[in-house]
Amino acid sequence: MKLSRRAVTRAVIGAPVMLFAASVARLESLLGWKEARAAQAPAPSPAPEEAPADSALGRFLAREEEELSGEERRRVRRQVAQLEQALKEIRGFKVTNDVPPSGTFKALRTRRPHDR
Amino acid sequence: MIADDILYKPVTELSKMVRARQVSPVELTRAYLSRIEALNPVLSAFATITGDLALEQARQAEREIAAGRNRGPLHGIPYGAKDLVATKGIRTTWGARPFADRVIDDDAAIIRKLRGAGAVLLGKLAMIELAGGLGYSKGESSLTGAAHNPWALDRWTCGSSSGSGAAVAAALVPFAIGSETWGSIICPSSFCGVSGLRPTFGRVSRQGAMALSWTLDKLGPMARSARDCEIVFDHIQGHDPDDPYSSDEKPAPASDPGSVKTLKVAYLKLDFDKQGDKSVEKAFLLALEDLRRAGVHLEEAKLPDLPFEAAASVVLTAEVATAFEDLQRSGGARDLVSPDAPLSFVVARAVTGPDFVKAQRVRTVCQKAMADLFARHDVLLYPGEGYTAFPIDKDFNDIAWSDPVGAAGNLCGLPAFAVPCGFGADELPVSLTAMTSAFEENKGISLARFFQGITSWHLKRPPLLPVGVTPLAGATGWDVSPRASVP
Repeated sequence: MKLSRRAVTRAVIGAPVMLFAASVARLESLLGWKEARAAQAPAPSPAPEEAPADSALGRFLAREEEELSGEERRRVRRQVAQLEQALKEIRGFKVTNDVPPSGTFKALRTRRPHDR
Repeated sequence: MIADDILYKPVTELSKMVRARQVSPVELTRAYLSRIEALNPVLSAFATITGDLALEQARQAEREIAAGRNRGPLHGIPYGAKDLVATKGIRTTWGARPFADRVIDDDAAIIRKLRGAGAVLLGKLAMIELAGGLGYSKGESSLTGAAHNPWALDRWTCGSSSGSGAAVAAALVPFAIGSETWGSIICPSSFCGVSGLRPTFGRVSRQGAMALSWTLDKLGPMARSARDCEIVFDHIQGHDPDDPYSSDEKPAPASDPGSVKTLKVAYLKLDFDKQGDKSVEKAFLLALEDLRRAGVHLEEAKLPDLPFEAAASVVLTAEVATAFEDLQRSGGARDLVSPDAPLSFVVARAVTGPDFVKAQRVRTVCQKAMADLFARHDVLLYPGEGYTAFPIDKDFNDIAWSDPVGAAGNLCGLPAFAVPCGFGADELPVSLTAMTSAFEENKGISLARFFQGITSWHLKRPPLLPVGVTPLAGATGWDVSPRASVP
């Protein structure tokens, strides 16, 4: 996998966003080539084009973008596109029914002062 | 008067000197405070300096030691703590503007443990805002600005334990407490040329520490040597019912550098043609050669082909967004330095409930695969970071950098130990990192101590202008002759 820029942020504990460098090709598939180029290049325009309305990303952005400025929209789109790469890997990863989530729910015993 | 040479000494030696009354805790504390006063304006390593408290704790240690009470090797030894652990009566900023003046009315568990060991708190160490939880792309994303790397002041320390790395490297403290969710101990240790231990998840209580990701956060020591980290680790590990994720596994046994030749040691060959700096690869391969020559049998291993980064990214994204939702509601996220911070809440909503649960199921698969890997190998070696320290104003968006090994280790809660192993581009430090199975910190520490026994990288000092001999104000009543004990 080509590695990402913002992965640094991640690697040093960070950003709730992209970890995966969306390659240009992958971005294109999500956003369309014009937006992919916009996301890779230094941010020229305050009004990026709309993502395809029928894509998961398009639906997500339509819900979330209303109150954002043009520059914020551009950054959110880039980050969501990169996060989508991680989500795609997770959603596509096959696990059988017997694999539980990591971490175990435990009933919590009441702790009273004299128990301590 | 205490020479800078003394301040660069490891905890092991400082402790001996204190017990032999060659130096007193008060003198030591004053000397470090003087050095902090001189160098912190250049390094931005401290968020808050607790001079009065430190001197009070040092006087208490001095009285106790004089009276024959010995609390152990940290008794009277100064340290600094990353500013995400709560300290009663002292501001705890989490490195972030919205908390710039916040004072928490309790000490974190780790602070209580270190106080119980007689350690002396010199101050709270600078960090990336919210430990990078809401994203950042520059080292300046901190309440205190970018921390400067003592090896080259125009380079960054890495983060988020930025101040911890800078303070140890510049001998502003003998040891520091850092934290890692994903890379925040290993990376600053690598960039700053210090030793750093990321303990197993659940080993060290996080009670009173800022929560970034409940299932990824760890607290750990950074110091001048592997042995120093082990000493600190011994004092801070252990079950704590006040941290719901705290492990009740018995403490790790003591390290044994003599056992390293019997360990099954493997290494990962990363592809430096795809990313990273060739000078780092060279230093790493030379370190492996040093180990081979010393009689350590090494074999190549491969990381399981699993979506470690994707799973860690989804888990982290979801947990972070809820950890700081109060900042989202209050609008406080807009006061953070990073312009991406407020947007991260929007981005996080792309993760659905099923996505999060699925990522946790993938995590189970990853944990089993890593456990299987460590059934074949005791220790897994790799370069701590693929690069040397970045220019301080570098925008990370311009760097190709992934971290599958760090993702695997953190996602699965595995311990890792970074130690300096040479220098790469621009004479900047490079680290050798040893990852082990969960709760087997002793094997990584053994390897690290063995390596530091056959090399001297951990003894190198950054080319800071010498502060010189630090004058001591006030008499202590102890017969101080530090130079007499300095080789």
